[in-house]
Amino acid sequence: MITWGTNPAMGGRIDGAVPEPTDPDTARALAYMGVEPGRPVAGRAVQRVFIGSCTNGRLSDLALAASVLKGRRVSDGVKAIVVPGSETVKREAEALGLHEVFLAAGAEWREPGCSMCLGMNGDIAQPGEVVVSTSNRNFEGRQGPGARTMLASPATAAASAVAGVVADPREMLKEEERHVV
Amino acid sequence: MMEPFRTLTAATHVLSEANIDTDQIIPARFLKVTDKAGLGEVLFCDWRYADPVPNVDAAREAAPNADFVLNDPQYAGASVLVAGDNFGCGSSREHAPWALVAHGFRAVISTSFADIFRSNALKNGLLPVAVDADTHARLLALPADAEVTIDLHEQTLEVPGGPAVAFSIDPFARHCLLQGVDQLGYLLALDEQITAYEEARGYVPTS
Repeated sequence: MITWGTNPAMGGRIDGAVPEPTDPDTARALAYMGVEPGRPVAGRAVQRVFIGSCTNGRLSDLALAASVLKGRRVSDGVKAIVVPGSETVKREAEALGLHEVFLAAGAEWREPGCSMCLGMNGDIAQPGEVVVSTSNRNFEGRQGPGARTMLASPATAAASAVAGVVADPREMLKEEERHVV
Repeated sequence: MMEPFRTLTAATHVLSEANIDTDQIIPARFLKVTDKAGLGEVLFCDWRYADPVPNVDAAREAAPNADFVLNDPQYAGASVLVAGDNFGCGSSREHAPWALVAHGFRAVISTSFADIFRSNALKNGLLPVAVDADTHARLLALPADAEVTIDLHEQTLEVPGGPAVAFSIDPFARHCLLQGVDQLGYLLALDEQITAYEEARGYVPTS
């Protein structure tokens, strides 16, 4: 699942396509996001990846992202940040060595906080940048004026960071993990 | 203490888009304050000014976006906002009603409100009034100088050109708005009775 529009309801399968708009709100959303109807959701160039937020900042979420990123590198054109959901999660993740996976892959390992979910502390995207984000709100301008947010799971976000484009993570996950996306 | 809300007769601003979310009402970069100072200047900030505005001080100098309805001088002073469906959806930020009240709005009328926004509004002296589609259509069609009357005591809304319509409101919230108190104010007014109750049960406060 991934969103293609400007509210959490405007989303669909990772292997689906952007739908034809049937109302002015959706038409406006597609214009803001810079996508045409019929275009596959996957394959779109991504500039930033945010793995974190209350929605997906648990230890299990970080572990899922790590299993995609292990042995792989974040694509050159992508800035990826991983933000644990709390101090406790941070300690537990570090005890498991997850942070080393993120750092080895070329992602940033951050202190716990809201970060890019809210864009309040300066962690924002530039206008027009596509962000694959494991947060829960993709409203216009939420992650910075003109930022284009696509909400997805930690696995999808990690896979997109590696591919440099919106990517289906199932090929990068072990068989037993594929159901979680 | 807030000003008691009894009846309000006022002109309306119309923002007819549906699903106006709280990131539009008050962007995240303004959530770092709790003293509400200047929030009225940055209400709908990213729609309201011609260029990006990073803070309240910059808002005071910024050129307004001539196309945005809140900047239209014929609506200046209107204290009732008529908004599209599902107003206030998204993040729960209490700054959303703070900014609306700081700007001068005392009531918002829509066909529906997001739950958390409705609750925050009621607790901050901003009355959310939900109406049916027909009444909403009448409101959208009002000329700039038309006035509506909201009677909180009777729970009615009068729109020119039609009969008064009833609206519902949580009874406790209604009571607080009529008295001009918030929930804390309501409790503090009962301080004597609370103390008497505690003393009667032998409770000794630790502070």
